[in-house]
Amino acid sequence: MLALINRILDWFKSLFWKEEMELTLVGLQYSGKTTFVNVIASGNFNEDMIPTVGFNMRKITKGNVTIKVWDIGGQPRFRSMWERYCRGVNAIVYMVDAADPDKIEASRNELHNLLDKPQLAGIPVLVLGNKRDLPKAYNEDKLIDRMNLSAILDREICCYIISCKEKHNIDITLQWLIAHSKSGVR
Amino acid sequence: MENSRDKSKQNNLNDSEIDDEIEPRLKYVRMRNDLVNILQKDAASCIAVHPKFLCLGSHWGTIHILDHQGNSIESKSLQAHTVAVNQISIDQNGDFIASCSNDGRVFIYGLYSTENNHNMSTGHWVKTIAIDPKYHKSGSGRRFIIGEDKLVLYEKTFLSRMKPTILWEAEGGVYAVAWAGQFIAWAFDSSVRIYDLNAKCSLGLIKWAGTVDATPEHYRCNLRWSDDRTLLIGWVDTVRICQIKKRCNRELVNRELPEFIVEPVSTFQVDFYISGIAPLENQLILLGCLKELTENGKSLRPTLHVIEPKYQDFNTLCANSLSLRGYEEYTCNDYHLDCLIEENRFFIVSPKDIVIASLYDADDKIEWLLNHKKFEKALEAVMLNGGKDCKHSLTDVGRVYLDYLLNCEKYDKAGKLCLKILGQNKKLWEDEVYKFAKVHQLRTISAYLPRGDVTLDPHIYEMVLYEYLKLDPDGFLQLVKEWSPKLYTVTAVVNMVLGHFQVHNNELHNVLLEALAILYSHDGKYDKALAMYLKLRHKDVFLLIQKHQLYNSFYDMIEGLMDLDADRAIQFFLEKDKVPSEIVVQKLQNNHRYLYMYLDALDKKDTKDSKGKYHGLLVRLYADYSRDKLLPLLRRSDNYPIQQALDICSQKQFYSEMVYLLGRMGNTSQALQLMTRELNDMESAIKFCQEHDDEELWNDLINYSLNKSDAITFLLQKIGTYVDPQLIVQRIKPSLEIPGLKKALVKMMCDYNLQISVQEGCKKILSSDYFNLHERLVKCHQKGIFIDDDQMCGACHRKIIVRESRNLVIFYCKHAFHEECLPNFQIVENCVICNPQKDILPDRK
Repeated sequence: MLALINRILDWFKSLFWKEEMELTLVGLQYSGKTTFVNVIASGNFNEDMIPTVGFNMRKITKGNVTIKVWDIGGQPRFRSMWERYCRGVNAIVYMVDAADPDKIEASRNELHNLLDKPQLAGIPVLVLGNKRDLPKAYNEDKLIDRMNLSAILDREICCYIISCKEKHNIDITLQWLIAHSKSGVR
Repeated sequence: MENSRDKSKQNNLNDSEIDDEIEPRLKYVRMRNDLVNILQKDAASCIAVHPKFLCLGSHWGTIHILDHQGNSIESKSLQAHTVAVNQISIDQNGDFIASCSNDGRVFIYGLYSTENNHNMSTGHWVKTIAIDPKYHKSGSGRRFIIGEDKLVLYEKTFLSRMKPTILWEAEGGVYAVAWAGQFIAWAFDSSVRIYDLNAKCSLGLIKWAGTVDATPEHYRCNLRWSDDRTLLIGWVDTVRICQIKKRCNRELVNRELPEFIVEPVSTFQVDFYISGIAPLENQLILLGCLKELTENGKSLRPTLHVIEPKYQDFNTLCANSLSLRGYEEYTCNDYHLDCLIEENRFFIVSPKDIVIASLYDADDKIEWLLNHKKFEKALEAVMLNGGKDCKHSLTDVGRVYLDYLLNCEKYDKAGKLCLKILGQNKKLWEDEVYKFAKVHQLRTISAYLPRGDVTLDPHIYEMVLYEYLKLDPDGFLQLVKEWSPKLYTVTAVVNMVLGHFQVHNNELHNVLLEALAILYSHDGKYDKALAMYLKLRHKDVFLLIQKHQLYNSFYDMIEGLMDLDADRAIQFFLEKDKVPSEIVVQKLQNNHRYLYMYLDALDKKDTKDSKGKYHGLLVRLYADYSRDKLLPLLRRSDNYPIQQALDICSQKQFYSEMVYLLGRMGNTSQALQLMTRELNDMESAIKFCQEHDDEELWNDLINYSLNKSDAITFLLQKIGTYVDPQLIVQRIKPSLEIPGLKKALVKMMCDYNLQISVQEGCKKILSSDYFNLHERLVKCHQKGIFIDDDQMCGACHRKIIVRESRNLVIFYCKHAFHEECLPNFQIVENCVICNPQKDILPDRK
C-alpha cells in the first residue's frame, strides 16, 4: 500500500519536476559512442558515422529526465581531455567494442587510467560492450573479466552488453542511467 | 600527445623569459588543431571559457565552439553577427551563450534547445553583454544585461515576453559589464559602478582618473569577479580590487542604506596597459602591453605578469613575455584574457593566436629543475611529492642526476647519491655500477654499495675489487678486510691477485700478500693463509689461528711463529694445551734458544703430571742460556738425570750447581772439595758441612784448611759453634803461621764458651723441669678414683658395680674392670683399653 502511494507520489513529482543529469560517454574510437547517443536520442541507427572530432554535446529527454551527454572523441589525441569532461558528471559511460579482441587491452588500460584520476573518484561507471550483434562478441562475464572490472572497488560499476544496431539492452541501459540522475541517486 | 606538444611549445614560448634562473610559475601551450584553420581565415575578437568548451568570437561575426584542444565543434558554431563579436557570455551550466556586436544584434543561443533563444536588434553598438549565470534554470527569469549607450536588463515576464529595464543611462555608453550572483559591475565614461540586482540599487562608484596620454575611454575596462563578492578591475594601467561586504546590523536599522558596501582592498598602478586580469589563488595574473613601442613604431610582445597585490603596491613574482603570432601589429585592446578560476587555467587570446597558461605542476617543476641542472632541488621536489600522481620517480630523477654527476666527474657525490636513490633495488644498483665501471670510478662507489640485506651480483664486487687491485692496492686490502667474503667469489679474487702478481712482480708486495692471506683464510685454505702471514711476518697469524682453531695445521710453522714473535707464540702454544708440547719440542729441536724459551715458559705454567718431563732438557738449556735459573731448577725438580746434569755443570764449570748435585748424589766429600778448592768459599763449605753434619765431612774440611792459613783462620772463627775446637786445634801443625790467630782463637773460644754455657743452662732448665713434672705426676696418682653406678666394665660391658661383691681392677686411666674379666690379671700391667694388646684381651664369649 505504501509502495503504491510512493509510486503515485513519484508520478506527481514527475509532472512538475524535471530531473536533470549529465553524463560523459568515452571509450576507444569506433566503439560506437556517437551511434549510441543517436540511438538513445532518436532510435535511429546509422551505419555510416564519421569519427567524432573533439566532442558532441546533446541533451536527451527521457520521460521526466533530461540527460546532457558529452560524447567525446575516442581517438588517442582526444583521450587526454576525457578527464576534463568526466569531472562533475553524474555518470561515466564507457563504451567498449565487445567484438574487437585486439583493442580490448588498450580499452582496459584507458579505463583504468581514467578511473585512477583523483578528480573522478566516486563517479559511477557504466561499461557498455557494444556490437553484440557481431559474431564472436564477448558476453558480459567475459567482458568483465577482460576489462578487469572486478578490480574497481571504489565506486559503483555496472556492465551491459548491448547492440546499437539491434537495439538490444538499450532499455536497461537507459533505466540504469535514469536511476543515476540527480534525484535518482538517493 | 598533448604533453609532447606541450614541451616543444613551451620551449619556443619561454625563450624570452626575463630571468632564466627563476623557476617559472606558469607553463604555456599554444592551442592548435582546428583553431589554426579558423584563425588563418578569420581573427579572434573575444573569448569566453567554460570548463568543458570555449566560445571564440571572430572578426567576421562567427561564434566558434571549441574543445580545450582547439577542435571545432562544427555543428554548434554560429554565424551570429555581421561584424566582429564584441563579447560572449556563457551561463554557469554551459547551456546558453550570449553575444553582442557593433551590428546592434544581441544573440541568446541555447546549445541544446531553441526554447529561450533570442535574436534582437537594438540599433546601437552593443559593446558588452552578460548573461545571468543561472540562465539555464527555468525559474531564473532568463535575464541578461546588455550595454549600449545605456545599460539594459532583460527579463522574461509572465507571458514569455522580454521586458527591458534600463538600469543606467550613460552618455559615452557602457564599455564592460560583469555579473556574479546578485551583483553586477559595469564600466562607463571613466568610472566603474557596482550594483545590487536584488535591492535594485547602486553600491558604489569607482572613479578612474585619466592621464594625459591615456584616457580610460580608449582602453577596454577589464572586469572580473574572482568570486561572488570580489571584483578585480584592470583598466588602463591601474588595478583595483574591491570587496563587497555586508553592513553591520546597527547601521542598517538606523538609516536607509543599502545592505552591502563596497570596500577597496587594493589599488595600484603598473607600468603597462592592462588587457586582461584574472585571479591566481591570492595573486593576480595580468596580461599587459608595454607602453613603449619599438623604434619603428611596432608593439612589443605582450607580457603575462604574476603579481602579489598589496594595499597600494604589488610584488612582481614573475613575468613572461609571450611571442604571440603577429604581436607587432596589436595593441592593448586586441588582446583578451579569460580564465577558469578553479583550474588556474588562463586563456590568452590575440587575434591570430590562443595560448593557454597553466600552473606548473610537480612534474613540470621537476622537469624544469632537471633541465636547468638543479638536481638537488629536483630530488627534493620529488621527495616532497612522495611519488604520488607524478611521472617522475625518485629513481628516475636520481639517475638523471647521477649521469650528470658522472659526466662532470663528481664521482664522490655520485656515490653518495646512489645510496640515496637506489635504495634496495638490486637491478638499479647493478646498472649504475656498470656506469661507474666505465669511467674507472668504482672506487668511489665501493663504500656505498649495499652489503647488508641486499647484495648485488658477486661480479659487481669482484669488479670493484679488481679496480682497486689495479689502481689502489691499499684500498684493495682495506676492502678485503672490510667486506664479507660472501659478497664475492673468493677464488676468483684470489686468481685475480695471483694474476696481478705475475704481471707486476714487486710492487706493493706486502700489501697484496696480506690481502691474499685474508682471502685464503676466507676461502678456507688456512695453510696457505698461514704461509702468507709467515712470509709477511705479520702478527695477524695468531688471530687467524685462534679464530679458525687451526692448531693442527701450523706444526710445520712453529719455528716460523717463534721467529715472528716468540713471546706471543709461546703464550699461544701454551694456551689451553692446544698444542702438544712434544710436537713443539720436536719442532724446535734445532733451535735451542727458542726451545729454551718455550720450555721455560712451559715449566712456569705447567702444574700437571707432565711436570718435569723436560727438565733434563731444560737443565741443559738453562745451562746454556740462563744459569741463574739452573740452580733453582735443580733444587726444585727431581726429574732430571743427576749424572747428566753434573756432567753438564762440570763442563760449564758451574761449581755451585755441581756442589748441589754432588751433595744430592751423596758425594759430599767431593762436593766439599769442589767448594773449597774451586769455589774457595769457606762459608758455604761450612754451611754445607753443617747441612750434612757428618764428622767425616768436618774432618775433610779441617784437613783441607790445615794447609791454608786463611782457611784455618776462618774455620777457627766459625767452627766454635759447630764442633769441638779441640779437633782442629790439635791438628794444626805447630809451625803453621796463622794470620789473626789470636783474634780467631778468642772468637773460637768465646763461641765455644758460649756453646758450653748454653749447654749447661739447658741442662739446668731440663732438670728443674723434670722435677716439676714428676711432682705433678705423683700428685695426680695420689688422687682418688671415683666409680659410679653407671660405669661399665671395660671388658664385659656390664655394670661394674654388681650385687654380689666382686673384685675390681681400676687403672689410673679410670678404666675399671671386673677382676675375672681380666683373666690373667697378673700379666696385665696396663689398662687394656688404653694399651690394647690382642692377646691380652679376653674372648667375648
